[in-house]
Amino acid sequence: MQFVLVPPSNMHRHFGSLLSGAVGADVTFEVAGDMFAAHRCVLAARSSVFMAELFGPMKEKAMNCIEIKDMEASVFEAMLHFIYTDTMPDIDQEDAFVITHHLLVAADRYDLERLKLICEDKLCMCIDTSTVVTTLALAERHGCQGLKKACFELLKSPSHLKTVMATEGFDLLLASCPSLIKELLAKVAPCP
Amino acid sequence: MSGGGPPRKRNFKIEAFKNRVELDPKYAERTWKVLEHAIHEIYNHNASGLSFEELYRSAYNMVLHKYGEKLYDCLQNTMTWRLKEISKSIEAAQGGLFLEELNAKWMDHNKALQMIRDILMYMDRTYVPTSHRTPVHELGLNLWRDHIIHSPMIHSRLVNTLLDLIKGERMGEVINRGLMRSITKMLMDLGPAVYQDDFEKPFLDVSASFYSVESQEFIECCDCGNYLKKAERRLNEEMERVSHYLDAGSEAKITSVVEKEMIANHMHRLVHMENSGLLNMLVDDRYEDLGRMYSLFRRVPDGLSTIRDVMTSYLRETGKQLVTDPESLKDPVEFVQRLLNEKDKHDKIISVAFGNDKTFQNALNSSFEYFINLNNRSPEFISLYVDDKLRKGHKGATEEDVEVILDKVMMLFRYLQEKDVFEKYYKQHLAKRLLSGKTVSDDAERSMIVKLKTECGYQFTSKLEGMFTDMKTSQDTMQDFYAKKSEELGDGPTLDVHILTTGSWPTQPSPPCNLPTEILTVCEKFRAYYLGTHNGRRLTWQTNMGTADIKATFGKGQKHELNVSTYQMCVLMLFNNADGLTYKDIERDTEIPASDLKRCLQSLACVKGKNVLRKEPMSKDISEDDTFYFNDKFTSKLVKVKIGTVVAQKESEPEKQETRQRVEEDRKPQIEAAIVRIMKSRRVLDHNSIVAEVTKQLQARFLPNPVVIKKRIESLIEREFLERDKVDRKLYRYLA
Repeated sequence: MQFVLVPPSNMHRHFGSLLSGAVGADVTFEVAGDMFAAHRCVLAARSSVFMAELFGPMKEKAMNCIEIKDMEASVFEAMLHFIYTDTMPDIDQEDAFVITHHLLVAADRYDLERLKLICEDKLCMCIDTSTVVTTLALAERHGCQGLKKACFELLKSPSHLKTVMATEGFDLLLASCPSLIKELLAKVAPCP
Repeated sequence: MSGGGPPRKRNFKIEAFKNRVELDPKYAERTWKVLEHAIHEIYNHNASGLSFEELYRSAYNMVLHKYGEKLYDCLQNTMTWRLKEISKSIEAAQGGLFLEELNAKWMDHNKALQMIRDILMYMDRTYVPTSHRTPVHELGLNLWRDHIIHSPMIHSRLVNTLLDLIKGERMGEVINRGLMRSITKMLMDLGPAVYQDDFEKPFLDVSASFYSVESQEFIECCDCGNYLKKAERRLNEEMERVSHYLDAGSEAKITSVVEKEMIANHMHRLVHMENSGLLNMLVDDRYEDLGRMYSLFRRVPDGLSTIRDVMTSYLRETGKQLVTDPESLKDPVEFVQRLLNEKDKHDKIISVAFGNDKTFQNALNSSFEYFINLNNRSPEFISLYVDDKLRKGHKGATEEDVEVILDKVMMLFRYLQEKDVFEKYYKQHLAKRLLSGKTVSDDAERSMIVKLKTECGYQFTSKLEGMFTDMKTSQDTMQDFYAKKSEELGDGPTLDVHILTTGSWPTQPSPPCNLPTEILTVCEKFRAYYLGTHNGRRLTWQTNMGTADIKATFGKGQKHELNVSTYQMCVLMLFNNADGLTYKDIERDTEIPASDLKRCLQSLACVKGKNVLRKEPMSKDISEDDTFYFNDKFTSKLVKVKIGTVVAQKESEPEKQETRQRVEEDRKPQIEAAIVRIMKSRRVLDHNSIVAEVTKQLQARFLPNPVVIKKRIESLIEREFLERDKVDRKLYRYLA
């Protein structure tokens, strides 16, 4: 007999409110012109990079506002959302591919392993002949083994491979990552 | 997305190959320069002016654009250069500041390394594992090890400084333990191999020679007790040293060095040291010294067995002397008391100083077993000791005291090989106690029986219990006798009969003697009464075991009550009808056997204070030409005079031979029963196996003699219980 009903965890909602409400926020990030308030402890708890940055002996320890370069504001915002709630934010369908792509890069940069895998997973599901080349380049650059395998899987089919090889992106990939093409050939046309 | 603010503008797209052109080697070189500058700033304690975000991003970009290898190599070169500079400044430090400078620079390096690692975290996470290179932190430690610790100018100076400090501390100086701790921790951080090879090994070697020399000095000038104190102190010092500033793994190693040099190497000399060695400690009960020796020696191989062997041989020697010393054999109670004292002494040593170590307990037991059986009168003497304790008149002992003593005696009993001999004597002594009414307490007697029963089983004690039953039954019988026959008896002497069941009591030959008429009459009346109610039984008066209370009136009218034996009563009653009698008269009239009669007359005429008879001629011994007179002039302060107590005494030679013979006779059937039992189950067995089995079965009672076993086998063959095998004469077969 069940005497007590324990509800499922809602911790992510509380932390999400903490982020949106910015109560007790002790640091601000400037990203591509936009400002984001956050809490040092939370960021440090979730990312070893932020831990070293925000509690290390360098400048950032005492700075109120830190500038983040080479990142889009919406991507940073999405990353913050994940940091606080451990979930992916809602993304419009039309931007999903692009945002996920950039979010993966951000996760890799700031050592958010789970976020990286979630993005990898999402990208796996929308691989097609138009996206496979860029996705493959991304996977190679950021060490995403699962995503790479998924791309090779698509290219195993000769018709797909033919389509892709005709694109400009493929030529660029060939020029910049020859080893990747070698790997691809090994997978796609295994020697008997 | 989180609420607040209009949706962000999405004006970006994926530029998969963006930045590739930008990060050409020149850009990579420029980026590296920024990082290199930062590293130097970090070592110069200017980290607070650096921007983590910028530096991290630079390193990240380099790795992302495939310049990981360049970044790693440049890092390695820069740190190496840096450490070489640091090395120079450490080498330059003078004297005592050397260690402090080394320590300070180590602290700096650690802090710097942490920051460098943080900046280069992306490389550590991605490039390093895939290219199988050493992670940044470990790289930093290895470089420190290679360029500082293993630098020729520093290495030996470091080790020597450390070892000198330790030596100084051993000689009584105060050193900076915190600094030592920091240095040894540094060595451990660089890898256990560094700590062990660069420090621990030389440390152990130097310590071994130090203690070898010191132990030699000590042993020349100290006695055993003081040497052990010093050794213990040094051992504790080393353990304390480890806990304060060495790695915990060194404890076992350094203590084993001290144990070897100070204890193991000098073990025999210590133990056998004249006037202060182990023997002296044992003899003088020096518990503290013994305890120290025990706790130190148990750390070294064969340490405890050395102590044990010395103790065992001392105990065996002492015990052997005790049991063969003719002086102590004169007094059985003293004999046993000395054994108990020796046991107590060693029990205490083992419990107080040797931590109740079981192996020592066993050595004690085996030693006692060895020497107690060297004297074949031990069973008899132990029984006499118990007899002494259970007799009335034993002053001062409470019930608990008696219990404790009996338990201790039981321990000695367990050591006896000939327990059946003890049984025989115990029965004899118990009979005397019961019949003379001399037991101090019934409870104590029964307690002893219970202890024997627990130890040896029901068979051992069933007859003893029978004796108690007889005593009780006799009481009841007497009550009934007097209740029924009081008118018939009238004024005659009062009789108190103990009826003994023959099998339960020790067998004694009972030569008859002539009882005085008055006594005879009442005895006959009792016999008639008893046989009336117990048909088919036969009663035999045991005149050598009885006692009597006689009222005597002497010359000046003094009245005394004399407590005498039956024999003595017979003799004294004769003097109602005559003033003087010769020895021969008395012998003829009483028909008491000669040796008993002589003893009887001696106790009546030759003992001061008890001489109710006068002997002519006056002499100590009784001869057949003596004449005896009633001693009118007898005086005594006491109204009741005890003359004949039937005290259990150590047997005379002939008595001893007799008992021994009876024991051997009793053993024969027991051996035969064992042989038959064994052969019945095994059917066929060779001679040696039978002897072994029989010994095993009977050893709880006695140790059978193989010659006797052989004779019994032959007897059983004659009686056709067994037969010899036709082919193999050593093989026997059971005949059903």
